[in-house]
Amino acid sequence: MIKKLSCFLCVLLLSGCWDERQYKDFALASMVGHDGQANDLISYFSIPIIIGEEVSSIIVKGEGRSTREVRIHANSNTPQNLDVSKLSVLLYSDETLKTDFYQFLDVYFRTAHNRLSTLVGMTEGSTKPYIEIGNSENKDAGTYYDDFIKGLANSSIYPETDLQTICTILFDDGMDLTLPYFHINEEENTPKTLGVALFTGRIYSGTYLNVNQARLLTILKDEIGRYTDITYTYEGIPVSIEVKRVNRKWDFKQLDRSGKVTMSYDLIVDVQEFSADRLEDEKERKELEKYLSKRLQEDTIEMIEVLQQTKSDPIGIGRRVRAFHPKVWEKGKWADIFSELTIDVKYDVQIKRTGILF
Amino acid sequence: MKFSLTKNQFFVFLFIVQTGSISIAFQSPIIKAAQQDAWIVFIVALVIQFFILVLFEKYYKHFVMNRLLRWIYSIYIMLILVLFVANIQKSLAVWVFQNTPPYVIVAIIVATSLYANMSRPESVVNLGVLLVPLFPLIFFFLFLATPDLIWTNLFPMGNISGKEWVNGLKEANLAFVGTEMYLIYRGYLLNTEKIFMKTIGKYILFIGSCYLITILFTIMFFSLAEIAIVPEPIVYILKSQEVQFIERIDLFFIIIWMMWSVITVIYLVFTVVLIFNMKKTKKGIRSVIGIHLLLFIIPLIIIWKDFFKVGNEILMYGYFVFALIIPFLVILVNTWRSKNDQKT
Amino acid sequence: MEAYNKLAPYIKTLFHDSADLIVRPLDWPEGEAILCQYSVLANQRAVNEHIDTLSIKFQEGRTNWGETSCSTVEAFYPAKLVEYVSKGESVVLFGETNLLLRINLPSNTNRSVMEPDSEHIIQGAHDGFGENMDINIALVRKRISIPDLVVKKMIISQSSNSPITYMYIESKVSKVTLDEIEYRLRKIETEYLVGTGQLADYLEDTVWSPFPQLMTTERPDKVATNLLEGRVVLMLDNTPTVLLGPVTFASYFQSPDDFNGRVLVGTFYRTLRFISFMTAIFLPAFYIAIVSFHFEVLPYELSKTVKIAVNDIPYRPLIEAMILEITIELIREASIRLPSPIGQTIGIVGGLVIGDAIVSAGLVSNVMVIVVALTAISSFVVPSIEMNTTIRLLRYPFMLAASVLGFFGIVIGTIILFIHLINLRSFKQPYFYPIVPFRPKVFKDVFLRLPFTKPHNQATSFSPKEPEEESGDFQK
Repeated sequence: MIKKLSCFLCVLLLSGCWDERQYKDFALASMVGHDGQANDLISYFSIPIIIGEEVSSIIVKGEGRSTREVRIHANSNTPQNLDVSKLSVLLYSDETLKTDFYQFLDVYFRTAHNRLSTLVGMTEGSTKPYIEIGNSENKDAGTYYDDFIKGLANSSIYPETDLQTICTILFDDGMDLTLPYFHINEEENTPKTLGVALFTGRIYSGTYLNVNQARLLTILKDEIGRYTDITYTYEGIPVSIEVKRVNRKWDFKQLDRSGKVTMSYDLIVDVQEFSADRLEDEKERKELEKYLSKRLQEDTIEMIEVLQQTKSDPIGIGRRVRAFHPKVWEKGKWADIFSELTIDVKYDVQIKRTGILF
Repeated sequence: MKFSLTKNQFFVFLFIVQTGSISIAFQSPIIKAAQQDAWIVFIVALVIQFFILVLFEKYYKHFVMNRLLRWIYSIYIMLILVLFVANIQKSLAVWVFQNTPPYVIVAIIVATSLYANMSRPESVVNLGVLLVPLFPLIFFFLFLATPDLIWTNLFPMGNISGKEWVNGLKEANLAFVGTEMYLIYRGYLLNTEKIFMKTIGKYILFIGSCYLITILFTIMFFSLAEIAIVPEPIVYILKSQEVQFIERIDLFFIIIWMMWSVITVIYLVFTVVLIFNMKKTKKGIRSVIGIHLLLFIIPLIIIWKDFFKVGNEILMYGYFVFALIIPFLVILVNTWRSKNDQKT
Repeated sequence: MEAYNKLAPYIKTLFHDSADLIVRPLDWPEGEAILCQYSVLANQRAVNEHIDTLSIKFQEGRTNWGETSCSTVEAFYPAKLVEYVSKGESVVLFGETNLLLRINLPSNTNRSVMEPDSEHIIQGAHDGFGENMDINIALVRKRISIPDLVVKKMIISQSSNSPITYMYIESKVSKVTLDEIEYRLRKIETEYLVGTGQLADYLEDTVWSPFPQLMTTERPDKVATNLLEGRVVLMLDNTPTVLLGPVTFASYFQSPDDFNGRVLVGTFYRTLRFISFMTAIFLPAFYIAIVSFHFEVLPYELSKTVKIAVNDIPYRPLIEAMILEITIELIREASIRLPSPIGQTIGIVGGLVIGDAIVSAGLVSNVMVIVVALTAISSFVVPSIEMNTTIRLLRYPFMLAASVLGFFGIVIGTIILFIHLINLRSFKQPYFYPIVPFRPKVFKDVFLRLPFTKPHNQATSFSPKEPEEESGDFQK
C-alpha cells in the first residue's frame, strides 16, 4: 500500500497534473491587434521576452479565419506557449470593425482564464505600427496603451469601458457602443486620439466624434473623469473651465405624445484660466455662466445631430425608454426611433470656485 | 447515534444545504423564465416557502418515518447528491480544471466526505462554521460590481404572462431544494430550544435576501440577451471585477463555493447515515463506505452519459413530490391516525 | 558496635554495596545508632548539625525529640529504609528500640530560578521552573496563595520511583476533567518515565495528531493563570517543563506579554499571531498554486516581476520550495544544537550566504526566497514551541496539495484540517472550543485582548463551568 502510494506521489511530482500551467512555460501577450476581415484575419501579438533581468517585447504575427485560429497560428511562431489571459489592451483596425464586432470577442469571453478588464481601442489603418510604437516607447505596448486609454478616462474623453461592459452594451438594444479611435501623427510618429468611434448595433458606423464632442458625450452620460477641461473664448479672452459635478435631469414626459425629450444638465464648474480677472462681480459671473451654457448647448446639439444621423445612441436614452415608455419602445427598431427623436438639451453652468484669483 | 442540535446549528445547517447545492446556477434559468421580473417571482416563491416552513414547524411531530419512507427519502437524497456531485465536477471542469479527468475530482470530493462521515456526528454538523467567515467575503466582492449596475434593467416591471409566472415559480423552487431537511432534522433539536414564527421569518428573510441580491445583481449587471448566454452569472460578475492586488476573483469565489459544496455533500451524506441510524459498528462503517462508493460511481455515469438535463428535471419535480406532497400526506395520515387513537 | 556489625553488611547488600552509600555508627546518648545515607544527595553539614541538636533534645528526655519540620521518627522496616535513602534522605537507625529517624535535608544542587530560554517575554515575571519539583511547586504557590490550590502526587513507574504531581484549583476545575486525568494516569504502565513528552503520549487523546493537545510551559506565571482558568497542571520531578490541560487551539496563541502590555497593543499582536498562523501554513502553498496553476490572478505589473523571477528556474515550484524549506529547517536545527555564539554564525551563513548564492545560481527564484523566508518567520511568531513545529510540519502537505491541484487542493486540505481540528479533544474537552462549538462571546475574548476592567471572563479560552450540553455540543 505504502509502496503504491509513494509510486503515485512520485509520478505526480515528476509529471505534474492534468491542468498544470507552469508560469515559466507561458509567454503572456500584453496586447493584441486585429487587422483584416472575418475569415481573413491578421493579428499581431505583442509578447514581452525576458533575457536575464531585462524585458523587451517582440511582435508575433498570426493569420487565420477566426480570432482563435489566428492565435493558434501565432503560437507556432512563439518561443513559449502563447497565452492571452493577461491581456491589457485589444486594438482593432477600423476596417475590421465594419463587420459584426462580437465575432471577434467571443473567444475572449468563452475561455475562463481570460481577463475581462481588458481595455479596447480602435485604430486608423493597421494595428501593427501602433504596437511597434508602443513597444519602442515603453518596452511593453500593453502597458503603454493601458495607460493611454486610462488617461482618456481621466480627462473625460472616453469613460473606462472594459471587455465585460462592451459585451453588455453590444447585447443591449437600448445603448450603442463607442470606442476610442487612434491615429498616428505623421510628424511626431506617435499615436494620437482622433476621437470616439460610433457603433450602430454591433458594427462600426464609420463616423466618429472629435475629442471635444467626445467630452460632451461623456458629460451627457454623466461619467466624467477627474479632469474635464473645456475652453471657450469669451469676449476675445479664452476661458477654461473644469467640470466638477454633473446633475442630470431627463424629462421624458412628452415622449409618448410628441417624441420630444428634454435633458437638462446642471454643471458645477471651476474656472481654471480667465485672464480678465473680473469674476468677483456677481453680474459678470452670471454673464459668463450664461455664455458658457449657451455655447455648450450649441455644441451638444450639433453632436447629437451627428449621433442621430449615424443612428447611434451611446448616451443610453434607449435604456430609459425601454424601461418606462414601452409604447415608444415597441414601435420599431430603437436606432430608427432614436434618429427621429427631438432631443432638447439645456445646460445650467454654475461657477463654484475660481482658484486663488477672482 | 444520539445527538442534538441547537437552534443556530439547525438553521446554519438548513441554510448551507439549501444554498450549497444551487447558489451559483439558479439565477440564469429563473431570469430566462421570468425576464426582468424574476425578482418579483422569487419574492412570491419566498413567501410560499415561508408558509411551508411554518406548516412544517407546526406539524413536524406527525412526520414519522417508517421503513418505506426512510428508503424513499434516502434514495431521493442520494439522487440529489449524485446530481450535485456531477454538477460540481461540471462547474469545476468549466472554470478551473479543463483537462483533469472527472474521476479524480469526484474521488477527491467523495474521499473528503468519507473522512468527515467517519468522524463524530458533532464534528460533521459543526463543519458549517468554516463557511461563516467566507460568506461576507463573497458579498463584499459582489458589491464591488455596484458601479456597473444598470438599474433601468429592472423595468418595465410586472408585465409578464401567466405562463412565465408559472415557469418562473417552478425554477425559483429549485433554490429551495433541501426544505425537507427541516422535517428530518427538526426532531433532533434540543428540547429547550423553541422555534417561533419570528425565527422562521428571520431565516427566510436572510436566505431570501442573499438569493435576491444575486438575482438583482444579475438582472442589473447583464442585458437580458446576455444572460441567455451566461450559465453562471454570479461567477461571471466576479470575474469582471478587478481589485488592486488580485485578479480573477471568480477563481476565489469558485474555491469558496467549492468548500460550500463539499460541506453540503458531507451534510447530505450525513443525513442518509442519520436516517438509517448507522452506528459505528463494522456493519455501519461498511454501509457508509458503500454510500460513498455509489457516490463515486453514479456521478461518473451521469457525466459520461451527460444526463444533466434529465437530472435537473427530476430534481425540480422531485422537489414537489418530496418536499411538499409526501410530507403533507404523511402528516395528514399521522394526524388522522393520532386523532383516531385518541378516540379509541 | 554489636548491632552495627550485624546490620551494616545487611544494609550494604540492600543497596548493592554502592560506593556513595554511607553506613556509619553514630555516638548517641543511649544505645547504638547507625547513620545511613547517599553522601551525594544529602547536605552533610546540615545533617550533622541536625543530628547534634536532636541528640541534645533526646538527652533532655523530651517525648517528641525527633519531630521537626525536616525530620521524623518512625518504626523501622527495611523497605522503608530503602525507600527513604533512595529518595536522598538521611536515616538514623536505632537497633535497640527498633526506631528509625529520617532527616530530609537534601544537598542544594539546583539551578537557580531563571527565565526559560524557550519562552522569552519582554515585560512581566522572569522566573522559570527548574529541575526541583519542590521549588517549582513553591513558585506556583507563591502566586496563588489560596487553600483551594491542591497538589496531588501519584507514583506510576515502580522502577524509577518518580512521582507525578498534579495541581488544580478545587473550586475552578471541572470534576469530569479531573476524573479523566486521574483515570488516564492510573492506566499508565511503564518501566520509567523520563520526560513530559513521554507523559503527554500517555495522556493525549489523539497521539497521531500533528497538533499538541497538552500545553507545555516552563513559566510559573503561565501556569498560575491557567490554573485560575480551571486547567490541571502535571509536573514531573527533575523536569522544568510542565504539562497543562485541557487546552484549546486558541490558547497556544496567547502570551503573557499580551496581558502585561496595553489593550490595543495586545490585541494587535494577538491578531498578528493568528494571521501568521495562516501565512505559515498557506503562503508557500498559495504561491505554488499561483505559479503552477493560476497565474492569471496576479495583477499585470506583479505578473511581470514574477515572470522574470521564475522564467529560468529549472525545477518545478514544489521542488524549488522544498529545497528552500529543507535548507531553513537545517539551519534551524543546526543552530539549536550548536553553542549560541556559533549558532548565530550558522544563522548568518545559512540565511544570507546560502540564500543569496542559491538565487544567483538559478536554483531557486528570488520570489520563492521571499515567500519561504516570510513563512519561516511567521511560523516562529506563535509563542508555543510545539505549535510552531506543528505549523512548520503542516505546510508540507499543503504544498503538495497545491502543486497537484492548485487552489482546489488547498481547499480540500483546509476542509480536512478543519474536520481534524473539530474532531480533536483535549481531555475530552473540545479542542477548537470557541469556534466549534461556537461561542461568540468567548470568541471575542480569545481573538482580542480586551481590557480587564470590563466584567467578563478575561483570557478564558476554555470555561469548564459550562457543562458540555449547554455549550451547544452534542450529547453522546
